[in-house]
Amino acid sequence: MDDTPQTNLVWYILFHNHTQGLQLNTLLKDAGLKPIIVPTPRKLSQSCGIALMIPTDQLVETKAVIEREQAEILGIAVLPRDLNPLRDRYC
Amino acid sequence: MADYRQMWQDLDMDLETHDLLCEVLPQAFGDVYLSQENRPEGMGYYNFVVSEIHGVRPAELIEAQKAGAKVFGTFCVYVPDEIVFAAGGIATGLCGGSQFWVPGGEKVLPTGTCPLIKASVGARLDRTCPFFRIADMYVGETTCDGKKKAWEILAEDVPVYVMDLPQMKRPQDTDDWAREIESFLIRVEEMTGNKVTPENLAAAIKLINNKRRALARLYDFRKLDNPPISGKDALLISQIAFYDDPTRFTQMTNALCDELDKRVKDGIGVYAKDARRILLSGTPLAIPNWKLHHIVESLGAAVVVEEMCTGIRYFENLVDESQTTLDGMIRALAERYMKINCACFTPNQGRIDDIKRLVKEYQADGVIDVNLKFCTLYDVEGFLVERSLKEAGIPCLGLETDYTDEDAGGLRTRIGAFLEMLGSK
Repeated sequence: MDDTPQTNLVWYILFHNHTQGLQLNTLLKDAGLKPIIVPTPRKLSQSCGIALMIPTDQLVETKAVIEREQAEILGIAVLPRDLNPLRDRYC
Repeated sequence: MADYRQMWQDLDMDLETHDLLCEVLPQAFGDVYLSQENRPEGMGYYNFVVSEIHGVRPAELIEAQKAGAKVFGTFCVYVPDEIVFAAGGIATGLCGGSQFWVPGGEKVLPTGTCPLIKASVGARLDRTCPFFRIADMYVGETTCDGKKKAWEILAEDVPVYVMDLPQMKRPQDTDDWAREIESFLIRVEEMTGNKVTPENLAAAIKLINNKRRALARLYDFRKLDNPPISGKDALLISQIAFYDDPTRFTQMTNALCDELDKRVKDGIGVYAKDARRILLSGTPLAIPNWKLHHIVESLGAAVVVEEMCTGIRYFENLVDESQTTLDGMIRALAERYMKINCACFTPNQGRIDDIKRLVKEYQADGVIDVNLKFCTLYDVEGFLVERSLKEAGIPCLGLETDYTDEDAGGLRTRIGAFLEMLGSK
């Protein structure tokens, strides 16, 4: 297994509350997209709760759904993809 | 990204310290769970529960309390949730699976106490877990000496009720346990102000049995040649089962299983075809303790079943639903719960038989017998377990670990060598 973190970009949609997040998650899935519910990365917020992780190649379509459905969000942010299964840092 | 600070403040939590836990969770969850490929879509629900772990469910419990319900915090799979739900209360597992809480426990407990107990005490006394703040009453049990003494310490800070679990499995021990359940029922009635009736107890038995059925259905997928869900994901679901709303949990887990049915039909599995299949036995893995599963699976093997409290001990055997009287139901509860095989019993041949049966049912290539440091019961029983498995020709590796990250490298080496010893398929 490659032990280096993957470095491509990942986009996060942030919300005021989980209800907004779950609603958009459903809308995106209905549109054939593949959002992933994740804990909001610490670099993006001091609060806890859900964000939606969106791959770069689905960003344009995701934004289109948000606009078309007038979904309420707090914002969209991007971070380098930093998932490292060999980091061995647990809670 | 809700702001739960006001709620936590109202619970008199130490926000500054709690913040440190919030800081590490997203990265750890990402490394362990989001680094997996080809996860079932239905795992989104459990991602959601973890993401909102100190938010959504605590808020629900507080709302229920405002409506008059009482919340009972439990620490063990022997405590019959059915009694609590029958009386209109809510039972919730209290999480003790993080190193984050251990130093708080060590302020009052000997260092040589198991991390689960230290973390549970630390979470309460350091005021860093909302579930520990919300529970109106803790329900302890006499499953080990460390816990028995810990209840006394906790009882100085929160009401604690202790159930006296028999330590043998003779007929009179089941009678004793039935009497203990009766006494617990009376205390729960006093606490909630509600009577437990044959009607509401029958409904609660069905409620919890349905949760067990959903988990059994989930675990059945892990018996297949190439399971459609990882061991890590199954562990997460088992951990969440302890504190989620039981009706919603059952519904979401059955929905996930519907998806897994489809994945099986489509030939979708999550492991390489030559992945070695591992049964984990031993001490519980309370949320967010994901270390062992993650190490085993990141080495290319599959954890196919847990002979643990966070595993089959939680859901195997249903409570008889045919009883119509309160006495009959209490007896049925006692009989079901006494079928759990914990190392606190002597003798405990049933656990060894369980492991051997599970090896066959889940086609395990080997067993890793895990002991949380300083758990004397499972540590001593490990000798009998490992000897018996070796006699049966079942490869077995005994491991001791705790909640720290420090032993991860050593565990990787030992587990890697064990997998190599198992050879390729």
